Amino acid sequence: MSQQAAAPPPVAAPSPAPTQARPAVLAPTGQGARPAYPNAVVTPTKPRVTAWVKGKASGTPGRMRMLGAVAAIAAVLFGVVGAWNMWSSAQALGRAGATTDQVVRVQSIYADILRADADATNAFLVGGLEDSAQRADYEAALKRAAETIATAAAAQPADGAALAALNAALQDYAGLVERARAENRQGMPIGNTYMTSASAGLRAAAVPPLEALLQANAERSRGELSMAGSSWPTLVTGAVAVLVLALVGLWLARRTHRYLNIGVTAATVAVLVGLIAGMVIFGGIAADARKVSTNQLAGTLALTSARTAAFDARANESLGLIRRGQASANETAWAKNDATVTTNLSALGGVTWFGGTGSASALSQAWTAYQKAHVEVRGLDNAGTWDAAVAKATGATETPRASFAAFEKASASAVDGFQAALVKDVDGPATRASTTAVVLLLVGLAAAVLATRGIAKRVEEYR
Amino acid sequence: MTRMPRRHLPLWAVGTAVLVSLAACAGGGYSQTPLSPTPTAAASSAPPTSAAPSTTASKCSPAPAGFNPVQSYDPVATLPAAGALTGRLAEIRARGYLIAGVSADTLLMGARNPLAGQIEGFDIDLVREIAKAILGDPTKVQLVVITAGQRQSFLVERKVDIIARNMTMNCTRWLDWPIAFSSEYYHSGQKVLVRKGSTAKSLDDLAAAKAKVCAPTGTTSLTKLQEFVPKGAVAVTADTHTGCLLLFQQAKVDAITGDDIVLAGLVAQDPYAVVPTQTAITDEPYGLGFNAADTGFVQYVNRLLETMKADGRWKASYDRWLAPSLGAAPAPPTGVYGRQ
Repeated sequence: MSQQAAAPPPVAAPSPAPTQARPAVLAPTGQGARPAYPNAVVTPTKPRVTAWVKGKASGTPGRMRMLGAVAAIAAVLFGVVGAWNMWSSAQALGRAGATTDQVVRVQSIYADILRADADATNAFLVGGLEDSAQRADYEAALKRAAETIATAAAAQPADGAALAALNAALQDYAGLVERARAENRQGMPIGNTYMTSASAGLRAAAVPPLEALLQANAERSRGELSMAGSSWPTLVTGAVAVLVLALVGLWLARRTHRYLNIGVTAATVAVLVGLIAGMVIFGGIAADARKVSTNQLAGTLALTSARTAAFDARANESLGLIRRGQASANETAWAKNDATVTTNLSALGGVTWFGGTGSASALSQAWTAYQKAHVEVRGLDNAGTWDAAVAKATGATETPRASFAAFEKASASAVDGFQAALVKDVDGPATRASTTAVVLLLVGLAAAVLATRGIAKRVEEYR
Repeated sequence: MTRMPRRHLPLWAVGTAVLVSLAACAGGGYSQTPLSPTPTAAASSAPPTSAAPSTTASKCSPAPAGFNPVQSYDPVATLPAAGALTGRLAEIRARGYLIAGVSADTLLMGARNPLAGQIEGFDIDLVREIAKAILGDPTKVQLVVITAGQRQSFLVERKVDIIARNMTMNCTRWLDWPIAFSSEYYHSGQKVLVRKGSTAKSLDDLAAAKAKVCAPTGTTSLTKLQEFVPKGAVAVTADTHTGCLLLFQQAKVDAITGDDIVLAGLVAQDPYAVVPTQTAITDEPYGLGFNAADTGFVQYVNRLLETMKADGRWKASYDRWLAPSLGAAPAPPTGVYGRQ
């Protein structure tokens, strides 16, 4: 079919322009007649360059050269964009791991801060000289929190301002607690006021940045995972490259009365295969990323939320007793925390378990044990036996402490498991993506070379 | 096929440049994490603030003719035996413990002793005597720590049986809240506490100096302080008097105003706070607070108070808690009765 169409050369679309353009070019420069190669005559001045380009572009060989350039650009663009797309996908997967690390860091800061507060308030609950083990636990928790803030700030510069606010809140808190302690050791009731003020200030100043940090990093993780599967730049440039190469091939076939130009055809096939393979691989990466997002990431987030709420619940249990007979506000907070823990643990039942030994239902059981112990504490306090309630809540061997510690330990190891699984499971797709990036780049470049070479051969026939 | 034409080199250069520049912007940073979370569906968990007492038609402006705030209900003739208790008293006995609203940070009156872990003071002694009378055991008490601003709602909503928390008997509390009082058990008056070295000796001096003065929310001290705001004083509030002392120690206020006994408790905690010699600007008769319907309970407690004032238990408690700061015990306030 191409023979019939190719017969009348003037039919070709750009025909009128070049026929007129030729003399026009010749006139002003006076040297464009010779179809010289650029290395033969180096023309540094601008009019000469323009003349050279126009000379190159004129006539059928000129048009061939232009189309060859267009085909090469399309192929290279596909290679470059596809490689960049794949490479960004690999990077996004890596960043998903990094931002989830940050979520876990922030959660551990959160937990340590609330743990420190629970220790400090408990010391006031027991009265007199604080338990030295509890004091050591308070100091260790604050130290860990401070260290993790520093690590987190280094890991994610965008979190700097929020972490700085957190650091300031922690310093204020530590200062007030020391003051409270000093007054308490003098037997002054104002010590208790300093302690309550420290706890309230901590919640007012540290919780908002902590929540913001958790929210921002969780969103970043989700965003990275969904971005890892975003393949439209490759699809668009690949489709355009295939189309351009196919049209160039068609044009060449008409112009040169040959069915196939081997170079251009090979380039078209290479880009097409590269595009299809690239899209298949992208599909796999997107599926993997989705799986990680709905299992490992969702599980990590559910666990961290549950843990934070659990620590807050435990702190509220102490604060409720400290406020002596006026636990209702803290009890409301406790119930809200309890609901958060329960919701997150049941959400955990819906995802694949990566938490190592244990299971979502085992965690739920551990929490239920603590719930029961808490209800007993409240029962004792509500029955007017405050001293018994305090003994129950703070006793090292009593159920609230033991069951909470069991839940704390189990959930901590589950978070580690989910987090490790996330980092590990984004690694495979990330490696695939970076490998494919190199392949796509090579395919694009090879296609460009093939296409230009195929056309160059035809151009030579015009010499 | 023969050789690579050199004219294609620029194309490669462009490709590489594009790759490098795209790579550069692909690793872009995140926007700064905000300092507080962006609001989501989760509603803010603002605790329900205790409703401010309504300012509707007070029965005390002016007070009814002949109204005497220290006048309480007649005491019962003798304390009835445990089995003969009725009404509220029978309920308390059935429950097994008395629920009392107290302060845990008013040194001398009701404060938690950090070394013993117990709440103790002049007010607490009274509560324990009442528990002992009703239940035969001074420890059968659930002490509910409340702030001054919570006194009304805790009595009206019956969250406590009784409040022993340095509470002034006045018309508003009798008729507007409304609650009932026992007869007077301590006579106090409002004074000011200032920084050591300060020349101010009264609220007038402080107002002239445009000083920041702290008083707890919901107290008669704050009501009095507000009269000095037009004269230049800046009123600052806290939950409790100890909260005021915290602000005082953090240099956020210049002075504290309150009843002399409360200020004595604050001075005991801070060597840089002094209560200069001054005349009390108000009379603050302290009574125990009850739900307005518990008149039988009030009559029972009034008999107990009379007995304690007569047999030396009142003085013993005063000597233990207040005498070290305020000197030897005066004669106990005389109970005024006959309220209908």
